[in-house]
Amino acid sequence: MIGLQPSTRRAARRLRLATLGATLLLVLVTAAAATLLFTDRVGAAGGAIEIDRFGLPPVPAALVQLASGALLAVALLQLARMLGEVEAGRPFATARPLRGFARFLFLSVLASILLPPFIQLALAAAAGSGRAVFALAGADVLMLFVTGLLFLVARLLDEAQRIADDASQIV
Amino acid sequence: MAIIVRLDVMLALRKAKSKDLAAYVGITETNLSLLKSGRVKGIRFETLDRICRFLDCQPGDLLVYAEDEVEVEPGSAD
Repeated sequence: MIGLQPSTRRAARRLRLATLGATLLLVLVTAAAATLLFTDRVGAAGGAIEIDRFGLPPVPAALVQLASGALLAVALLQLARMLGEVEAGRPFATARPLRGFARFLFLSVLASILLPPFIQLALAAAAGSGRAVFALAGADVLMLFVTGLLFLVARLLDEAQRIADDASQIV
Repeated sequence: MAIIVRLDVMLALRKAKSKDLAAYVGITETNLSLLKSGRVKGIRFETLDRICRFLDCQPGDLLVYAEDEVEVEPGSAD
C-alpha cells in the first residue's frame, strides 16, 4: 500500500461516488429512452423529448440504445472500481480496472458507430431494398483515440506496479 | 542466489537481539527476518550502514559471494 495524501483519497472517493451516481442516472435515462422507443411514444411528449434513433425504426433504435448504454454503464462501474483502488491506497493496482474501463468504453463507442449501419443493412436485406448510412462523428473518433490512450496508461501502471513490488522487496 | 546473508552469524557473534537491531535500523522485525533469510531483492546502503554501525562490522562480514553450482546437462559431459 502506498502512503497517498488524504486529500487524494478524498478526491478519489468523491469521484467514485459521482461516477456511481452518473452510472445510475445513465441506466435510468437509457431505460426510459428504450421504453419510449419500444412503446413508440417519443412523439407523445410534444417534442419535449428527443432521442437519437440513428436513422432506425423505434425497436432497433431502442436495442442500440440499450447495448450502447449497458456497455457504457459497465465501463463506468469499472471506473468506479478503479477509483476505489485509489481510495484504498493502491494507486498502481488500478491497471486492471482501467483496462476494463477502456475496453468497455471502446465497445460502447464501437456499438453506437457500427450497430446502426449493420441493422440498417439487415433491414434493407430483409425488405429487399433500402440503404445503410455509416456516420462517424469527430467526437466518436476522438473517443476511440482516448480509449487507445487509456490502454497505454494501463500498461504504464502495470510497469509501475512491477517497480513498486520490486521496491517493497528492498529493505 | 550467489549472495549469502550472514546477518544471523554476526548477530550471534555480537550476542545481539534481532529485535534491538530492527529497532536501531528502523525496519520491522518481519523485514529483518526476510533479510536474514535472504528473501529480499536488495538492501539499501542506508540500512546496511546502520546494521554495520550497530554490529560494529563491515559489509563484507554480512554479505558473502558464493558461486552457484553449474548445472551440467545430461549427455553434455563427453
